[in-house]
Amino acid sequence: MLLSFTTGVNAQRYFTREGKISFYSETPVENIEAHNNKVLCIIDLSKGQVAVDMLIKSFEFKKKLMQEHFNENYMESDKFPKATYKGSFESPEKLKSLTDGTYTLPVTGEISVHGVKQPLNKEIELVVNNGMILTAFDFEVKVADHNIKIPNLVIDNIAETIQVKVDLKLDPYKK
Amino acid sequence: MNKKRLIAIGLILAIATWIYLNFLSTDPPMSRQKAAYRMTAVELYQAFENDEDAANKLYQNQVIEIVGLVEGVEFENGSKPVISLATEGFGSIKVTLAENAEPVELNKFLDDEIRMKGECIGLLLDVLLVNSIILED
Repeated sequence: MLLSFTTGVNAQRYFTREGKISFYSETPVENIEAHNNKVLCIIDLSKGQVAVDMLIKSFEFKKKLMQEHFNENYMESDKFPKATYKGSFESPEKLKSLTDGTYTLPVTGEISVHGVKQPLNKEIELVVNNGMILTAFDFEVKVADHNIKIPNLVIDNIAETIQVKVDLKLDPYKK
Repeated sequence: MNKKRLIAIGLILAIATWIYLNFLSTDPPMSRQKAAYRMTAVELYQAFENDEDAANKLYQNQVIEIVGLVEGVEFENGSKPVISLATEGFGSIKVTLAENAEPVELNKFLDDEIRMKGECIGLLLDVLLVNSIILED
């Protein structure tokens, strides 16, 4: 998806291929966390669009067994290899001209996880600093909203709502 | 041993096997997995760049033995090291190792050819391989 996004005119586009997304599941039985440092994100300031793309198998867990269960049993990563987000926002003129500062933007869009799309609207802060765009925010994903089935045997080990943290540092896009 | 006891032992073994296979066993280590394809980093990237859907059908979730020129080595706290192999396209082949390694062990491969084996998980801008090992000649 994003490979086609990167073709054509590249003005006003900022991107990273090393964005960070972590998720946390907290239950009284156990806490689970995983990290993905290979998240692709492109922001087009002139159009007010953002696209995020990641491969589910890039999430790293502390325990190998947990990582395999996550991919094989819950996320079915062979069948649904990617999670994506596409959103849009009103881009203020100062942001378009990349004036240093912090911009609070309501972003509306759709997240696709496990082949199921859900709306995801979030107010985020974009920090423009010396030609780079930085943003860090978190949001929640309900497991059931994405048709992710948890076996009864481990249902107490996995939270119904997963906390997701995002940390992106975007550079000007140059082909 | 009477018949009831044999059935009980069989049942216990079956349940234990089911629990082991479904909840406790892990995939064999990459060193014991057979590569489905052997190719260069340039060839693999080109395949994805030319036709992502066709390349996904062939290579995604497959173990690939790959040869390429090391253009970078990345270390990130809390993550496994990543070796970047040069291609002729927009992105690289990013190969995440199965185990942690010291920078000195991996930086010695910089600008040299390397042979590796890992599971291809698909294309973002880069083609990603995970759970990978370095194959020594």
